[in-house]
Amino acid sequence: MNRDHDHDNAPGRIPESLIHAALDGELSDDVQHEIAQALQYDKSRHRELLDTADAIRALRSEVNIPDFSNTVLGELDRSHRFIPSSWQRLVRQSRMGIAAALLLSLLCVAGLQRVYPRLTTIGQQETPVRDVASAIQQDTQSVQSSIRDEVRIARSSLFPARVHAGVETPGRTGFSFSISSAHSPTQTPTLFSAGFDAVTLPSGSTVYFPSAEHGLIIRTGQVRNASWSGSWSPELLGSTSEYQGVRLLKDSNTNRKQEALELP
Amino acid sequence: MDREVERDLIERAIAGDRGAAGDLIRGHQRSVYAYILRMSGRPDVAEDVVQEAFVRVLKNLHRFDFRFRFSTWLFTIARRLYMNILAKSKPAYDTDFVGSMGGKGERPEVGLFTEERQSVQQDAIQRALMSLNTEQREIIVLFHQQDWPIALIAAHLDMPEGTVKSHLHRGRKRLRVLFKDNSQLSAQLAGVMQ
Repeated sequence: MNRDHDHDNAPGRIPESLIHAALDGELSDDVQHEIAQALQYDKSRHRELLDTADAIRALRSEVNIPDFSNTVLGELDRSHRFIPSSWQRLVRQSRMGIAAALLLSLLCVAGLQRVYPRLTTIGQQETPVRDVASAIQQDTQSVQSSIRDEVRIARSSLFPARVHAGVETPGRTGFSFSISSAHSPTQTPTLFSAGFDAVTLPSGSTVYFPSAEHGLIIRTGQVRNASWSGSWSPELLGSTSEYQGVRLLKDSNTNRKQEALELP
Repeated sequence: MDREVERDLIERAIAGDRGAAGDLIRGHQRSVYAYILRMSGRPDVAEDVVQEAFVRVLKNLHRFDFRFRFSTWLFTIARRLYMNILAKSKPAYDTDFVGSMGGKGERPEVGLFTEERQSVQQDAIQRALMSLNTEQREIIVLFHQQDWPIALIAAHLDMPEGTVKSHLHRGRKRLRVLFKDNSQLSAQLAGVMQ
């Protein structure tokens, strides 16, 4: 190393630093020209410079390169496949706004969920729409029932004798009733001209007992205390005949025919 | 590439113009590939690094600062990628020349000799480069192959200009010697084979 250094600094030799400075492009054209002239007298340094030039020339020689454009653009397409460039730019430029909007949306949903838990419930849960549908159905049934009742009342007021709903079928076993009254059963019932006797059957039907002798006077709702009472057997009921809803009944004790009007 | 043209290409590529992105790639792929190839000595490594560098650059193109050169940014990313690879596994110089000499005693076809002679210089310079240390090799490549000025190399490598010059001079002297030796050896080998 020292020998090389001494050799480099030998008298008549061009300093290596000067060659480096020239190769670095730090010297003016005039100085470079002077060095080129001087190299004619320093064959060794000239040879070194030529070898250096060869190395640099080899370094700068062309290399075969592949075309990267297709592979790189393909890679980029894969990573941004479904997002148009305009959207990417929009997202890039307003990232903070989008993040804030998303956060706000989440907060709104959370608030709604707190106030109306069922509104934001997803799945086979009860929903307001389902409730409304159910309420409508119930209202419809209620109105239907109410109309049916009104019609029945209206029909019963127009044709009271035709109404037999709930009246026990004559001849049915296990059917009996009794009438409690202050009067004796054997007495002929005293029929008030403005009313008639009545008894409610286990089925919920009401049986009215007008007097056969005095004819039938029906005034709905004007029920007085019974002036006539008796026991009625299923057999007795089974033997009744029916016309226009008025049953011709027989008293089991007196064997007298009685008329009774059955109303629900 | 002219800076105005380059700026126009970058702006169009940012706006989503594929053609502009392709032009940008084609305008710089030669220099960055040559740089990494000379640094690594391995075409496969150079291809991987350059492709990844372009992908990263184009993905982050909207962050590019127009005060700087695009090539400097590209080279910085490519260099970082190469250094990461280098840190993970030290690459070995793989020469086709050595491999094509054959190990089964078969004499290659005469046509191959011409091709080998043409690649002798390439192999010699690459072998010489790989014998330098990393700093010397990179500075030599950037200065003599890429024509980067000393100041830019110093900024790129984050070292003082004086240190860059010192590496450049020592590396150049060593490269000259190694290249001459390798060239002579390669020429002798080629002569023997002929």
